[in-house]
Amino acid sequence: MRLLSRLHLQTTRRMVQSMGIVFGLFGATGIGMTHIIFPGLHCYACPLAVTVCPIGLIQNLIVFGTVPYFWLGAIAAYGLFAGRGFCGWFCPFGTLNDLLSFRKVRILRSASLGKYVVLAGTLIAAWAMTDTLFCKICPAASLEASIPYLFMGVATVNRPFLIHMASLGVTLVGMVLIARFWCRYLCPMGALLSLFNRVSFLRLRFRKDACTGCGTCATKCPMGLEPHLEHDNHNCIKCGLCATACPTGALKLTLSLRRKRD
Amino acid sequence: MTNRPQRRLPQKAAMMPLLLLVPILLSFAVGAQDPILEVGTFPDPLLLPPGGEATARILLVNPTATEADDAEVFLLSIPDGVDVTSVPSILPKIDPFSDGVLDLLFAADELAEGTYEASAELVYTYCDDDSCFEVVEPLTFVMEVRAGAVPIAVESFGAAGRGAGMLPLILAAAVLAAALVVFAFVRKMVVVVAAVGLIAVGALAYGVLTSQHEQAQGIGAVLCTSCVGIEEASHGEPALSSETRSELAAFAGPEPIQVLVFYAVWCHSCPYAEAMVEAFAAEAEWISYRFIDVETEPELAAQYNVIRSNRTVVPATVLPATGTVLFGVEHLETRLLDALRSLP
Repeated sequence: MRLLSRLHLQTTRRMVQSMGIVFGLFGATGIGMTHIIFPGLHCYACPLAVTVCPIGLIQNLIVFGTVPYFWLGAIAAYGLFAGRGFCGWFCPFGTLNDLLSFRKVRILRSASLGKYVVLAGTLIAAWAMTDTLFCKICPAASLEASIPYLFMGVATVNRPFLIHMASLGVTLVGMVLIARFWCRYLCPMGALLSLFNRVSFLRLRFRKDACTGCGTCATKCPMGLEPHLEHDNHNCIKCGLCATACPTGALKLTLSLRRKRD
Repeated sequence: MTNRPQRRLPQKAAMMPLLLLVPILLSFAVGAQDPILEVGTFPDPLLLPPGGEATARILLVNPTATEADDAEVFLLSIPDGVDVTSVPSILPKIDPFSDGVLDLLFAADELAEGTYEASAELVYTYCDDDSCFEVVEPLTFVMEVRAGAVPIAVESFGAAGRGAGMLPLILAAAVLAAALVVFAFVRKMVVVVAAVGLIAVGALAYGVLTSQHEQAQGIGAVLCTSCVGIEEASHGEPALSSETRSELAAFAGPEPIQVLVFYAVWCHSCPYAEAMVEAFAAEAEWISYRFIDVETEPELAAQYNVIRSNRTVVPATVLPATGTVLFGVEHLETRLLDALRSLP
């Protein structure tokens, strides 16, 4: 983490988020689909995508009845490295959430369990209906596939398109009203990565002896958390805004293999 | 602001990633001599007129990483006066994560109206390490012979017969059971981290060894229009309108033309597009057709321009004579008729 301490943490994060967008749209270079599973929510149907969406892929594998070794390995590797840090640092749809994070409010906290319901519903629907139901309402697919294919003459304005637009519209309004609305309450990929939040190498370290309990960190958290009280919460996207704001340095974002007790 | 008591997730929550180990362990418990193919027969019942013919399709889906070999149908009992031919007579192999098809041509030369039953066995083999196994699956065909019956075209039966099977449900139950075990016995964080690391490396390596990375790439590289909500999926047999039929009949002395349908075996709307083209061909002798699997013949997909921004779009109906490409199945009857009107 020495690099991050030299550069400004949030400047570094913006740079990495930009890299996430560039990576997500790398198909513009003419490269076709690769074997890589994207560590975030990024539609593989996007005309410029070169990576496979983990949520779209697992639905297809469930439909096929395939035991998803490759998928499991990729998710476990991503989770172990950064957990939900990918939401805060890399995912393009997370970055869109970030850009619209005007109101960092602490409301509807229990609704954050909704993302687990979405994840379970996505998997069960794929099994029960042998179809990729989530993809048909996914706002990331609305933005990254439906709209581009409309202009490419592959899609038309029909009922599925309007459903996609309604999903995108509701999500965008939600993002404006509540910071990180999608990441907080609904993202199935966020739910998956959150399973790894407490074991990942990228983590928020808290020094209780340095904390004055001023609550500055809580006013900056886009996920509506109180980092000084719940720094290893499943909803923490490890964006480091709390660490940047902390006047005493009690909170620190670290990337380390060592497991220190807080 | 005053400090509130720490609200921490239970330490056990850190163990959750270990649950991902369960499906891998479970796979070792699956008996090697179990059937590996999912078998579906279509249509049911098999409709045919007295003295006529009909084809029954046996769809063999291989959802495993093991190759199945020498799939063959042996007839056990068939009604007198029925002749059955298998096309092909034997399927040499069915690759991992792919499908195979055996068609049985039933000819009811001397059969009166009524319902009959024929039984058969599907036999195939597969090898696991040094051991090879033979699997025998019983098959039953119900034949409904009646005057005026129109045999159903079986080319439209493909991925629609695919099912998820019980494996995901078993996995889910096993995950729950393993969660209880892990939460009860594992306490040290370092053990969890090491286990998650091992899962990641082991599962990735095994996934690559069994070509699952290529399967993932294949899924990402093909855009199925109904799978991501570009249009609604259409199933079943399309029925041409009387206007379409009369217009096709009115085409005066047209040159023979070929229509190509590009499909993927897992695409929901592709059987409908294929059936639509068959329906056109049934009304107009000058239309011939060919169905092309984009995953086995990607070079043809490129040649006939069904690739958009590095995605092969399916279903795609192509008229090579004019270069017309029709994506999806929405209003396909009208669009295909329009395309035929514009033929030189």
